[in-house]
Amino acid sequence: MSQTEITTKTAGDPAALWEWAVPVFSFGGAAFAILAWTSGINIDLRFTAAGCVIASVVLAYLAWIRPKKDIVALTTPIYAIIFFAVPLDDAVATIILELLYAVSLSILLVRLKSRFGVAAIAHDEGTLAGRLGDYVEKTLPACSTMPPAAAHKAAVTFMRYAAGEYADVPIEAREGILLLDGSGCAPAFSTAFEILTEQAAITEKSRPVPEWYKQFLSADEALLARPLPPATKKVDGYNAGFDAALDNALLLLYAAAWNASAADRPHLRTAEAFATRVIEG
Amino acid sequence: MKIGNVEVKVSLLAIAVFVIFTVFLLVASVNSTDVRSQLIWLIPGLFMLLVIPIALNYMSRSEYADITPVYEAEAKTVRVKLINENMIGKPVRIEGVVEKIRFRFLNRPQFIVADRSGEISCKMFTNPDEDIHEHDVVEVLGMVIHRYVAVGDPVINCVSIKKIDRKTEPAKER
Repeated sequence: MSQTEITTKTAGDPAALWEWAVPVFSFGGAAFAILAWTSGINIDLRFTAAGCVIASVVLAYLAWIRPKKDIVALTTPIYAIIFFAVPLDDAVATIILELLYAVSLSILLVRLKSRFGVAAIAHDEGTLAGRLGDYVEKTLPACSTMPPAAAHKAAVTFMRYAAGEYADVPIEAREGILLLDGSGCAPAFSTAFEILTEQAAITEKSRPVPEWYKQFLSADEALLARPLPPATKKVDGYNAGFDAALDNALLLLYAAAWNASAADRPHLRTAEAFATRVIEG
Repeated sequence: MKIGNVEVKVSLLAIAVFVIFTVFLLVASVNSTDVRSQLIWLIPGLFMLLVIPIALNYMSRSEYADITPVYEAEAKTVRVKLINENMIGKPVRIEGVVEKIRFRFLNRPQFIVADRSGEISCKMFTNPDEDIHEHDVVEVLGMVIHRYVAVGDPVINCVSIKKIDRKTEPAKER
């Protein structure tokens, strides 16, 4: 089974049912209160208000599982408890408050969905989602001859760069190059280490982009996530090739580490969002 | 207003609060002898509504002025896209265009700064030295933090934001 197939099977939106729970519990509680009041049943309206409290907790959960957090949705349970812990003297006022609160929660749910993206999807332990997963799978055959020690160095180099520890990157990358020597791996992996060595040193010293810098060759292109841009500067001096070389090097090392060093996957998982951002950039 | 070498700015909100309470006090003192008898502490209390924000602003701005050279020395220039959760606590420098400014009236401006690779929020807990407007090309110094203390996407706790002399988008994005 391919990685893409696995991802598709596990990628059904787990939050969809929870999203329905917000209006169902909030309006359901209010509807139950209206029914009880019109039927003359004398119940403590705090029981019906519990629907709003539950809906608030669900909304907060939906906000929590998104990579981008919505502080308004996250704090709704606090407001629910403040509003409904102490009952109002008037039943009509309580019911109106419940209805208004239910409307507010529904508006916040729509806002959460439109402005704060989709919920993070739980994957199988050995798979990656989206374009990153497709790319990692594409590079799998090329990683079959990679020594595990070199793959581990690829993971360490990638993680050091992701963490902004630029002074350590050249040390780890040079060790990776030595470990790749004579392994029969595609030269693109060594080039990726060299590019990170050079670019981390430039970033560490905050030096300007040099005129000449390490790049992938056209022969490496089959293993790269991004096509090689033309080596021409824009009018304002911006050189897209420099940034593309870094993106490709980071992604190639991430893929090599993921495919050939299973022990490093928990660490690589912590930088999955970063790698996804680089590939989708 | 300048105190020592520090340019102090009071937020619009603080001024609005002061003006509103001044009007309340004037109206109440005209209509009530009880209020007039309490003016000896009401008037100083009213001025504290201005003095306290000024003092806080002075303290935060002088603190920022002290730490800016440290960030200038230690921050690494990065592309916005490269800023991620693993960099929490790291000093960074970005160059980009101000796309949006929020909460300026609170003296807690949040600048949305974009370069060719993406955009990021730069939160500042006091007003910047320069008047920054949308579409200005700026250099931002700050530390990568979570948006909400311990959770949320990475944003920059901005220590310094200043205009740089670029007619177009930043030329050197790394």
